[in-house]
Amino acid sequence: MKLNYVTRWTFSTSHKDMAMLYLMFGMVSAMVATGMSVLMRMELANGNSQFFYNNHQAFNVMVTGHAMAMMFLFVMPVLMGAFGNFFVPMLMGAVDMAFARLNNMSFWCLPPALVCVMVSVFMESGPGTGWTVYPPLSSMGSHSGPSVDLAMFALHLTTMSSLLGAMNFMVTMLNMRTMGMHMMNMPLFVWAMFFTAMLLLLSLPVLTAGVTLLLLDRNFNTGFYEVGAGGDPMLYEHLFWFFGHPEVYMLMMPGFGMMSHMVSTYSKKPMFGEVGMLYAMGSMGLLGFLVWSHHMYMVGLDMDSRAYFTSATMMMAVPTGMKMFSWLATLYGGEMRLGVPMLFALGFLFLFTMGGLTGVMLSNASMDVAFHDTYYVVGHFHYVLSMGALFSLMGAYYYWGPAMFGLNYNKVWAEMHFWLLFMSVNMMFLPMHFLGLNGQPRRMPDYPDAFMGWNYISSMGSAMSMMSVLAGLKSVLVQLENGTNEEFDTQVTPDFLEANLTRSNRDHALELMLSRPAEFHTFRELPMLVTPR
Amino acid sequence: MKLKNMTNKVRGNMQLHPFHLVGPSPWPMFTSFSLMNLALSMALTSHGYMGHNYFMFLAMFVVFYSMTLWFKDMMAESSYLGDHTMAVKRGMNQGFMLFVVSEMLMFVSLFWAYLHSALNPNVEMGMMWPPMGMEAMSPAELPLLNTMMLLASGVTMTYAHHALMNKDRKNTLYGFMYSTMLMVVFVFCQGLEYSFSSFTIADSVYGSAFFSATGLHGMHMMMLAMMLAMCTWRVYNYDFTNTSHVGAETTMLYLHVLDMMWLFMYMVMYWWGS
Amino acid sequence: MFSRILKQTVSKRTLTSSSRLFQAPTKVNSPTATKLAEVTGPDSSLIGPGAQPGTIPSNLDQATGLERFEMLGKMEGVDVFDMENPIFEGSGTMQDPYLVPTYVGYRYVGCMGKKGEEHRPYWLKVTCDEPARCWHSGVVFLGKYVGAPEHSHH
Repeated sequence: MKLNYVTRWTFSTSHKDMAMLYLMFGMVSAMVATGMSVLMRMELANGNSQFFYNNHQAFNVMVTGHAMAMMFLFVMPVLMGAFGNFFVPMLMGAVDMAFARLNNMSFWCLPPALVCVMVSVFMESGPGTGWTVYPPLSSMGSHSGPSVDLAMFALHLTTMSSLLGAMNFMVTMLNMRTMGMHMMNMPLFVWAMFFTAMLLLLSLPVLTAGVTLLLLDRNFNTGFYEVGAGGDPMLYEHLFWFFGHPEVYMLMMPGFGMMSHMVSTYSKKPMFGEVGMLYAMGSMGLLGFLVWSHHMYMVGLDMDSRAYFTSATMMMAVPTGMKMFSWLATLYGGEMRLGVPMLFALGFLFLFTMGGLTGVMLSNASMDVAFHDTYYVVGHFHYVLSMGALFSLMGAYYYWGPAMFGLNYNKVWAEMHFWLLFMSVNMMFLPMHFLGLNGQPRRMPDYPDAFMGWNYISSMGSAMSMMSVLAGLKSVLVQLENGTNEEFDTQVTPDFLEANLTRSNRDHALELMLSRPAEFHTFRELPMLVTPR
Repeated sequence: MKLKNMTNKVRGNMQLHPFHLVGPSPWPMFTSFSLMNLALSMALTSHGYMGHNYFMFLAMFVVFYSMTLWFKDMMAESSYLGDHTMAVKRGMNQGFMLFVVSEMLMFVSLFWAYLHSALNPNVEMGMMWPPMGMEAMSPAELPLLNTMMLLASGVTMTYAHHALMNKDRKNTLYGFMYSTMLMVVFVFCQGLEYSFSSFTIADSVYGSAFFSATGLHGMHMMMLAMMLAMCTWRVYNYDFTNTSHVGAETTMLYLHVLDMMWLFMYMVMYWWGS
Repeated sequence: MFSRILKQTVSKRTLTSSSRLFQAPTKVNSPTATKLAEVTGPDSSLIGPGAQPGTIPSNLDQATGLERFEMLGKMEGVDVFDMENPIFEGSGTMQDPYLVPTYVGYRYVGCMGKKGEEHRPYWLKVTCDEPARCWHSGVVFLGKYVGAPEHSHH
């Protein structure tokens, strides 16, 4: 059955085709978001305005656009849409996702979201509110143009995409496991996606409500967030962060799943404490719903509330630490092979830990008095996102890319990509901690000259990150153009007594065994997971 | 055709797994692009870039139309093509239950919004709830009738379901028609309530929270009324069988959940909040 | 369940389709239906008789396609999709491998080890040519082609 090109790519019901679409879309959005970040960093290179002509509104619009594009249009689509869609069915032995057409709608809601974000940024004065869009700055009195409304609609569209995707994933995992596979036999990446989907399902409606109430306030004269009408801007913060905190766990969890796969493959050892990892992810998911006010320490909550949220947030370090130690325990005693995905994985282990530690500092309500809305926070979340989520994303791209495309990457370019990225992100975000400790506020393009030194280094890091983006793009280009000639990166080295001839017939990971690229209909017959008598 | 005698050759020519590999379909793209039109037209119209409402209403209509086309395809695949095996039907039910969970959370956040201001009314409202000067809707009048109607619709729905399972066409049709009529009357009565209300959505956070929650419920009730009308039509068309009626089951679940949401809303917003 | 079918079809194959194919491959007597009446009717065939006007149809009346196939199978106690473990032949040694039924010539099997010595899933691509052996527990699998002879790749 020959599919027309347009039919195949716009009317798709194949999870693998959609994964490709998500990947391409994510890359485009990443370029947009990176561009915005470079603009910001260049403006911040020195104390006075560099090229924004003192237009702080435009700077804040870059802040908002960068965050929304990165989180909602790059990381979530690539982690969930691309890797999730491609590999979750394959890892479970499922023939496709449970609702294949709904999957397509989840993808096609994203270009409209990008359009809405772009229109929002370019119309009138743009949404200079930050991605958190707090009223009253985002209310009609302060932002009277259509920008905030369009940004909210963009969020609605990405919400719709993720919510439908979450339902799709969960039903697939509950219903379409292959024969013999019980829930506990599912690989860790699948479990990570399960928890991500559950978090999405439970937190996105709350964002939708909070954002819709803001839209109503702006356009229909309602009084949810207006003090004069008896409302409270704090309500928005509660609703937003009830979503916002699980959101950041959703950004991390697929990365955790992919990390488990990469670390165990490149240490040639099974994952240490698989069931423990599972429970750790589950408890992080659950606990993520109980800690939202640690983003709101400075708004005037009572002491007892702050004390509770401090302790709950600090408890989050326990399952996270358990995962860290399990990965380290997997490395220990294994036959480590420093392939490119392993470099990213090791980078993740170190840098995510650093981000987590600064997070523990921030979790304290009392310490947060010094840190709230400073660059310390920016440093923290960029460590866990730009280095946590991004490294796991890139690592998974190199790990699974050959399986997805059937094309191998050039190891030299990939390693260059890694090292440039590693150096640039550290150069960019480490100084932010010092700036934050010294009190530089975030979301402000102007700062006293005393802060110039570290800002300058951070901006140099941003310039180097442009080079790493170029190296990354070149690496992808070499992979796509010359992939069949490149050397295949054997993920697991053969044992001493093992024959090379039978290598390809078995693996711990089902997705690495299938043909590369996998066939359009991966499984005509369901694979079997057996415990023969 | 006795399946026990079926040869492997024949079996090998049929699909070996029970899941539904849906063919390519333009409706997802159609729906999402029409959603984009809706978003852009709503934002631009409300800021004066359009000059008239027609694009907005056109976009709403197109979204609705694209959803209709999608559901039509699903009905064809299930009733007329037989693609929905037990596994697929189980998946549909699970998916709808998850959807219902997410909708329940949306209502929960509206309750949160209501209670945020209702439990601690601020000084601008006279530190009382309902705010000073506002007259709450009496819970003992039309809202009580609405509550009774919803509870009655639960009963008629169960009646319809059992008739369906017992292959009693006449009573199934009656049950679905009564439920549909009750929903339509409910929506109509809510409309009356709204038009005769002493306060609007713009009247302080009380009006805002009240009307956004009951309004969201009302919009869902309108969708439910349409779903029930569809179910009635499908029963009339012999689409459902006594054991296979996923569309009816999802509609019933939706009805019961909306009913439950209404009960909470009634108790918190109409009764306690007055 | 599958064991019963397999035994019956294995025993029946020598009497029905494959023997006929071996004898006279081009003269298999399977006429194509030309009228609706030939495939429908009360004795559970391809298309059900349809609903009686004025009643709610049952699945037997109205189901079609894969749904009907599954339903007819259930009525006879047969799981047409073989979702339970269909391996019943063999004992996992090189001399007597577990036979994995496959309609397409290969099947992915995840070995979790014998009962009592379970290990994490080790996926094998089991073909009909040579046995595949689990690297962890040594259990041996061999594919057993059960599809149509002319569709086999060998």
